[in-house]
Amino acid sequence: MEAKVIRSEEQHQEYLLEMQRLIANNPAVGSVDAERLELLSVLVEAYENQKYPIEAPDPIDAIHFRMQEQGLRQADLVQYFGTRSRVSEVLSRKRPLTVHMIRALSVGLGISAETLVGIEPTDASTGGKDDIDWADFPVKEMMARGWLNKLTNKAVQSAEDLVKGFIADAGMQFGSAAFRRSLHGDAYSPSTKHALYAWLARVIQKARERKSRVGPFNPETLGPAFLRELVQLSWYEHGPALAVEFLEKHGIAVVVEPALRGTLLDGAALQDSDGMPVIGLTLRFDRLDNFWFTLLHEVAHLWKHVNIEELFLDNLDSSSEDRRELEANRIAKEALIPRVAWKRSDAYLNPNYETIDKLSRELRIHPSIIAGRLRKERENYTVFNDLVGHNQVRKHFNLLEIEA
Amino acid sequence: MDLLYVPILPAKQGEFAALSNLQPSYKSRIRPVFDVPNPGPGKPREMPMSRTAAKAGKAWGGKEAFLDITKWKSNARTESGIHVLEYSFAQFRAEGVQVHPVVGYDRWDDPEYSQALKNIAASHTVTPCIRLDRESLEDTYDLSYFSERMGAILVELEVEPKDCVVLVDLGDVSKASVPDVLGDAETAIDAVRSIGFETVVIAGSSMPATINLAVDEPDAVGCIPRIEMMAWKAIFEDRNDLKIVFGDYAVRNPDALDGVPAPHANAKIRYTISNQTFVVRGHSKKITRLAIQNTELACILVSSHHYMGPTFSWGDSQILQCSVGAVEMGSPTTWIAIDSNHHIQAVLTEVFEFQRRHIPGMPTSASSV
Repeated sequence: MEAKVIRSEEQHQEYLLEMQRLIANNPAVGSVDAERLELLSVLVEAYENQKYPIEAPDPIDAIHFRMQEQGLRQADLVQYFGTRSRVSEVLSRKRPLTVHMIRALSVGLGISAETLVGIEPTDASTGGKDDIDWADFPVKEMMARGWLNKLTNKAVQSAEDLVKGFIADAGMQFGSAAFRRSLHGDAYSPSTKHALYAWLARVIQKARERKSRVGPFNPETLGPAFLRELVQLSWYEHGPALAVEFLEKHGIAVVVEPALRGTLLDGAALQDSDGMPVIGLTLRFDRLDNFWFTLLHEVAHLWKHVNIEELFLDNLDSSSEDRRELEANRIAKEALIPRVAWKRSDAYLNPNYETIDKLSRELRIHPSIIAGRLRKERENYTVFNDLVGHNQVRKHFNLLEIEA
Repeated sequence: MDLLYVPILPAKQGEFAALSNLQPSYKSRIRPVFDVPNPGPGKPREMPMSRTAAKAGKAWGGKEAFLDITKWKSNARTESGIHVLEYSFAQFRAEGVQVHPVVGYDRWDDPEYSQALKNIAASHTVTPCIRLDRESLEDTYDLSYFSERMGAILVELEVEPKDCVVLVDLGDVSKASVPDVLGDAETAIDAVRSIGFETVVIAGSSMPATINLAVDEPDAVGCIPRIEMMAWKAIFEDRNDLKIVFGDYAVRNPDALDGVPAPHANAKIRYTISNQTFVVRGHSKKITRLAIQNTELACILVSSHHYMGPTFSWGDSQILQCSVGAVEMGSPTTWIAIDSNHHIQAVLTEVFEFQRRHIPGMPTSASSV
């Protein structure tokens, strides 16, 4: 009888009996019976693996066991996971262990890495489908912001059509091959991509509305001297407004548009289809240090990385491993406070109000930039809180009511 | 013999006492980074630097160390106009300490700083230590940029990467976790190895900036995890590489400011144990003199199961002496000496034992040659 892939328990039992008979006859190597036995064993093994998989030892149970054994509380595990909430999420199986967590637990709690590897690590890529699902756009929020009103006079049949119209109006190519541009930067996540697309479309529309007051753009002007000149506008009381004026005079449209809910977005750098460079800012944090860093970071992207195919959406809270993000950070930092001046300064060695003020005068930049640098470097956001310019940005753009 | 441990230490009296009281056979397994203290604005510079070098000569004469000036501006000069690194380097060498310069990757762009280093490298045989601080670790994620900068340093100093040491300085990791630190450390290791460097020191400190962050109540005890040690162990476990060397800031926080008066300083003993520091905390010296408190704290430590016995190190014998009231020990400098001496001995033992478990056939004692 011809052997087939096992699909039922009867077939499984039948093959097992036949294998027993063949084994009892002790077939010679290479004989027809021996080959039949080998074939059956492969089929049986495949069926059993599928039907009765051997369960790996459970890593979470192993951690719980070790906690009980050593009298540890969840707080004692923060050193292996990073934060209290991460500990609780992992232990309640809402978040998988990462490779680094596994290695930390292996050294710290003495649980073997083999046991801990029982579940898949999370270092997953952000890959996945990039298809546009029109129903996933935040239509209500877009309506509430008045973005979709303009289109209601057209012959639209559904909210999806409204959104399609809105996106098409921005000239973002969805057509046959979905979204053509590559999104970069740490603000991107699969769950928020629709909100990000909507925000981008809005930024492009607003940039076009400003086109009449934007001067001609010459890529040659972008460089260290241009960035320094921009940073020194921070010295003035109306610095943020002057910066926008300066950039638009040099051909770069600047749009301020609060982010849609759920997106952790600080800013974006892109080119419109006619080549006009555009910077979008959300002013997520109403703080001067954040404004200047984000602005310089986006200008650096325009200088070094942006073209018609590539645009950047940045969440500057997160630490990036993308070479272009690191380069934009470096350029921004160097423009704000040059490395040599920083290492020679009293503000770096002995930070206090006096030394910050002194360096601010020497470099002719706003003290918030120096305070922000110190807070970031020392990872201590409680110091110099009164220097970072809270509530000093949105007021320049008539945006006092944004949700933080 | 392989290097086992690189402690980053202020070049101060307490640290010198800790080093000079190490058992002689262990001294060759460590190479400290001495950070030259800054006497403060407007104060003389050359005299205190010479005194520091003389003390270093007594404690560490004939032995190797690295020399750094992180408490100074990168272009700082002495009153005679000599760059402080050049001046200090000459003084340490004159006192018999075989110092090698630390090269601050982030400070290299300062032409006065890099010139001082070039002068040193041109007139002495040195094994420079290129120090990557927290900020520069970001550059290691951008390999082409990082290689270019490191390459420029090597060319200008006229050294080969295999004749240098790289110090990956993670700084204050007291608020970090092992997984966070591992990512940065391993990226840095892979980056410097791809350029041809061999010996890489991974250093950090889990000692919080203030005692309240270590043990939140006065007159209590607590344990703080040593993130840098667990991270190094995880790296070693994975790679079994004796050229990835452990480093730390001994018992201090790296960002502590120099010479700031602390009228409410608390009595405390920082006692290093496996993967952790056991902290025995007293209260403000305004309430009870430190010497009186320290006797009580030493008693608590000696009677705890963490105490390793008076023969473990000079520091441990001092703790026992203090606990029985044989000697009055009130000065914070004395306790830096005691705590650091125990710490260095404990780290050497911990590192050595961990390596021996993972690499069969190693000698049985950290002090054996």
